[in-house]
Amino acid sequence: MKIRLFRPWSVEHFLAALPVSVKQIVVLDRTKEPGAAGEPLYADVLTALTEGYLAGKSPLPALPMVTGGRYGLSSKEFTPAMVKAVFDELAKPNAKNSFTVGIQDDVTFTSLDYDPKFSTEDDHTHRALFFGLGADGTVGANKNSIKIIGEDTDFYAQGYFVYDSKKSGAMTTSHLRFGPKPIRSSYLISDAHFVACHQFPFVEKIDMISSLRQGGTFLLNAPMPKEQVWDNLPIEVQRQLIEKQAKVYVIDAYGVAREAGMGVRINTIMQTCFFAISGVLPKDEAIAAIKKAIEKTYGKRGRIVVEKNFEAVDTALAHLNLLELPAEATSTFSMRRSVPLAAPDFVQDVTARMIEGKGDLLPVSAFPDDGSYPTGTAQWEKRNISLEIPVWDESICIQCGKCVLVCPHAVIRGKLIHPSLLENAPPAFKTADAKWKDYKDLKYSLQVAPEDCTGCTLCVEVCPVKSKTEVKHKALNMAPQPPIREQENRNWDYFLSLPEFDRNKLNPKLVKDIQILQPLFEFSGACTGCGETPYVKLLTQLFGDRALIANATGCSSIYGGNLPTTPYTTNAAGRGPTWSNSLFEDNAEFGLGMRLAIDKQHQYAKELLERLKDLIGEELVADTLAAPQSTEAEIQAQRVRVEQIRERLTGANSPLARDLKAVIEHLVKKSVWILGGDGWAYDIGYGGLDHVIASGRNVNILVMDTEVYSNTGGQCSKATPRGAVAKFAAGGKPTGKKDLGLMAMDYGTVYVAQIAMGANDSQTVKAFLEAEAYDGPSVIIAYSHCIAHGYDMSHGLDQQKLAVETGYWPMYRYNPMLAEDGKNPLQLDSRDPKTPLRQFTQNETRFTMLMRSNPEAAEAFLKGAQKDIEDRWKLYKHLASMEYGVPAEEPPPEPTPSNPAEVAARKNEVQ
Amino acid sequence: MTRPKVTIDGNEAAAYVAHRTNEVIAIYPITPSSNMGEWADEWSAKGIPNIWGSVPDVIEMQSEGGAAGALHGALQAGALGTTFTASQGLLLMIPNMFKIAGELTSTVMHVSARTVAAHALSIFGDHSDVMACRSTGWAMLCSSSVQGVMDLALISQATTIEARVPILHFFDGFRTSHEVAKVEQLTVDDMRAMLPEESIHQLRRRAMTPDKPILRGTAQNPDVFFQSRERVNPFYSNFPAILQAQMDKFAALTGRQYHLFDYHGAPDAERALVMMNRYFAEEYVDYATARARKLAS
Ligand SMILES: Cc1ncc(C[n+]2csc(CCOP(=O)(O)OP(=O)(O)O)c2C)c(N)n1
Ligand code: SF4
Ligand code: SF4
Ligand code: SF4
Repeated sequence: MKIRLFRPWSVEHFLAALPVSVKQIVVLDRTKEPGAAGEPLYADVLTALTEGYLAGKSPLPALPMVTGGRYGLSSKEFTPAMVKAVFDELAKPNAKNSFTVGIQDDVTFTSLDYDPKFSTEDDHTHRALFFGLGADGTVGANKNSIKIIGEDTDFYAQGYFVYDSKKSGAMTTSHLRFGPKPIRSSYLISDAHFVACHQFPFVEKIDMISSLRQGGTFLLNAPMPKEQVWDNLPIEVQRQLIEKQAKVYVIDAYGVAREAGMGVRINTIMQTCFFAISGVLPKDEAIAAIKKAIEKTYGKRGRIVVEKNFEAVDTALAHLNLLELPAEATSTFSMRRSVPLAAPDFVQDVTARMIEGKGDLLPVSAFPDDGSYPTGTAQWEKRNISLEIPVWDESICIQCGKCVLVCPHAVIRGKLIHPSLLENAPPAFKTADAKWKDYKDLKYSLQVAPEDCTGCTLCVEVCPVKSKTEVKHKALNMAPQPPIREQENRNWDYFLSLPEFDRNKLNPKLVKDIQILQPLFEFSGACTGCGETPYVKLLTQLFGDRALIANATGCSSIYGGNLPTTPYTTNAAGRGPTWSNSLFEDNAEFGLGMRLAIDKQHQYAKELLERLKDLIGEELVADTLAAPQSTEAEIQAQRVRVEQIRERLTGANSPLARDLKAVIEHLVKKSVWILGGDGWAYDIGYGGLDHVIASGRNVNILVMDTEVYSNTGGQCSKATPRGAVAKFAAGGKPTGKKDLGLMAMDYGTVYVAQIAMGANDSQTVKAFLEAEAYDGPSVIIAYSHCIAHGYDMSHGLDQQKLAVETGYWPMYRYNPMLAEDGKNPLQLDSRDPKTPLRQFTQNETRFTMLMRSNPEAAEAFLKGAQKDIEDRWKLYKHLASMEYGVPAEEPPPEPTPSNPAEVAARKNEVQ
Repeated sequence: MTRPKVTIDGNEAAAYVAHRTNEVIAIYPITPSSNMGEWADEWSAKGIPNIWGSVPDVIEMQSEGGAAGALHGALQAGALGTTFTASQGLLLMIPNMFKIAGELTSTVMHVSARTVAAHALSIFGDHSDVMACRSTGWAMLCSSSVQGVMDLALISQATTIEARVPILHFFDGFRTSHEVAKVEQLTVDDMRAMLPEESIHQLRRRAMTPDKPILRGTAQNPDVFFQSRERVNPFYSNFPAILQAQMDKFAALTGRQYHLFDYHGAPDAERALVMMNRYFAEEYVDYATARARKLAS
């Protein structure tokens, strides 16, 4: 029975709708209410039945047996096989109640077993599965195909598309059904007539063939001559193909695309192959329909693009080959392990399964009970998503560290190495004499993690060194990855095995030195070239070993905490950022809560120290309590003291001593960071952010301002500037950007900085250091280029520069400490804007879109925005030039005496 | 052991235990719960410490949403934390309540139950606010007299630390929160006895710290969310027994025995009334039982 009307719940109609023959009822709820007697629908059904029965109004002769279960939480598949399991359970003498279906619960044994092979699908319905990359157009082409089948044939058609939640290199799976009968199967395809693999590297990573039915068709895009394809398939794939007697078609779609002048666009080529093989439409009709779709999709981009696509369609079929399968599997290699054997158990047992796309098979016991996951697991997932990686020319590199700073994925790193450690270096391991005044005897290495690089090229773009002899040659140059992958892997492993250089010997104010600091945020799934992640990485290099991070929901919570892997990691001592995401709207408060907890436990630890003075020793206690902790060295010294106290406490068994042991680590300074995007900081979380900065507490807030809600696809926020087109502001945003920094400065007690790494990296670094050092609330507003801005991200840093030069993004630092010294707290770090705004906006689709669709409005906006810039700059200049004097020493005002009678009266007040 | 007798209202009874057994208290005013926050603030301002000798940090937030967020953060970082609210305020806490429970976090929130505004606002009492939280995964404990508020506040605190399920401790707005009654005051020793240090140290060990970092609040996909969600089941099935054990322990200490369900009336009753609170109903039942006996004899 399907419920249509849930509320108001009509007992009478519900009972009337049941056949009187019913003896057993099972109610499936798609929600979970831990601790409830049953889920809501189950409870309502039970109420209706009992009520009807007791009142004698039930049409059923007796009270049926009723059970309830949960299914489909978080889009877990629900299939006819599971429905069968539910009914089969009813037939048992002690049918489970409060069960689950669709999972394996080996902890509380709620789950029902089901046969995943059981199928009720109509054989006349053709089922097709396509594996592609988010970026290769597979999904778009399949949406097209479904439209063509739906509109150009009498068939019924269905399409469903599954994305993984990585923002770069994400895999997509398209599930297509079509056939003469209406399609009711709203679940994923497991027994496909047709499986297409649009990306050759998938064959050794993902088990696709197990979804292919006996005698089904497998279409493979293989970038090689057809004779070589078979030998390049792993043994497992060969075996399954032979066993299933599959028809295997291969095409070098990238080759065809190249010849047709379409670069890497393979989608129409693969689509053409699909139509040709599946025979859903007569060939000519199919090709005509595809061409019609191409006209529709690419017409806007001009005739040439359309013609190229036409050519690709026409030539595709000539390159499509049926592969003759040998009788036996002969491959000499197996599918790749998704993680290396060296990975920790949890990664082997749980993370790896998720990476392989087999997370559904993990039982309940595999998971932590409270949602706590180990950090440092992203390093094990070698994604190999870039065909090109940077290669270092050590002979001309000036070792500035800029490439390391801007890498959004912490893939390129610098290290200072004692020459004696280089004896066992792999032959291809490169070093140069260190260009550090104090460390001339050391060697310097700049190393890339070849399988983690996303190929964003930001490192190459930022590199300031051009060869004097070779045109276009820099100290970093992109080169094809496959030929050097293994060699660079060995180099990378070796690089990692070398000890980290002593942090205390480095100057954290210098970009050059920062490259030597280990990043504790690496290989995240952020978009290739993301403008947010370099800031996060920098923060972990500077403060990661003592950072607690509260992260607002948004891109940063997804690339920061989206399973399977976790990019935050630890240093050799096992320290690193601890991270949590609460909600989108409460992040400042969430971080403040962390601060309160730390301060409270710090306070308690200090109190206990005082009380245990005799046991621990007066001097050590006094030193610990008075210890300054503003530099790395001072923090290190405090850690040593804490260890000493710990030692002196061994054996001590008083309650106070035991309590101190439980909170002792809080004697070492912790750094609380509150991270999020502009949607959080300017909009939904602003009330909280405002409250938190007003609280005076020592928290550091990093707003990564992409000027839109990036994670949800680029909707307008109050950070969106005038005239920019965003979702929900399709005609251009009519109002100017909110000045969050100015609002924060208004308190006078908040450290505020507005930064843009691409424009001035040392200002960025200064801002982070000052914000952290300030014993109060700090806000850093960081300009973050983003794919939502609509241009090639490799120019992200240039655009940042232009943003600053045009005055679109003024840089400044407002440090309340300066006011205490009688100085103006506001320092402008960018120059008077001289470049017209147009030079910045003309490079980004978010502005140019309007230029094309509504040039008049765009011009008006541009004028308005230019004026915004001028007005704001004038105001800043004025604020920055104000005279500040040293405030006269004044006694603090008397607190108003609290009148006990008044307090008591208030208690009974009612508001 | 003799305990002081004090004449206080329900809010003060709850606040008393909450303040003595917590470290971070995030507050926001809303009738009829405001007084709990006011008491806590006042006591901390006067330097009154909790049972471990440290003065709790009381902070007013910008909304109950913010109070819940701050509470969530404080709990994650290993503090004992609490908050007080009612009605619309409680509704604003719901998003965080799901997370706090999902992460098996020990905490008690004290709610003087109040009507949720519908066609009109009403500051007065019913359970519409508490009932709106049924799906959050919080345990819910109801007390119905000023003494009960104080007692169950402590029993809740002890239970949540052992059971790891957060507890919403509620009592009727105004009728209980503002009723003044003479009660026996729990002592520091009572509270210490109910909150053994080892369980608190365990809670600290689960805290987020960069010294032994973990990651919480991940985003999960269809492949694993459902299984992970069912992982909490044992904590809920163990909860009633843990609570009863704490109630028994409390009874041994104070002589006041509570049960998960307290039946009151004739053992051979044929008609029963079930409800959350039972003060006047009990009065009636006693009256009716006595009358029935009289008639029978
Ligand atoms: C209460 C609530 N509303 C909406 C969402 C959906 N949502 C998740 S992330 C996001 C946008 C985040 O934008 P921003 O803060 O700018 O961060 P960015 O993704 O740009 O880094 C939205 C709207 C949510 N998670 N919670
Ligand atoms: S190409 Fe991009 S990801 Fe690769 S090393 Fe350079 S900056 Fe890092
Ligand atoms: S940016 Fe260029 S010059 Fe600077 S360290 Fe990197 S490779 Fe060397
Ligand atoms: S901020 Fe933009 S570029 Fe970065 S991950 Fe989000 S959408 Fe991608």
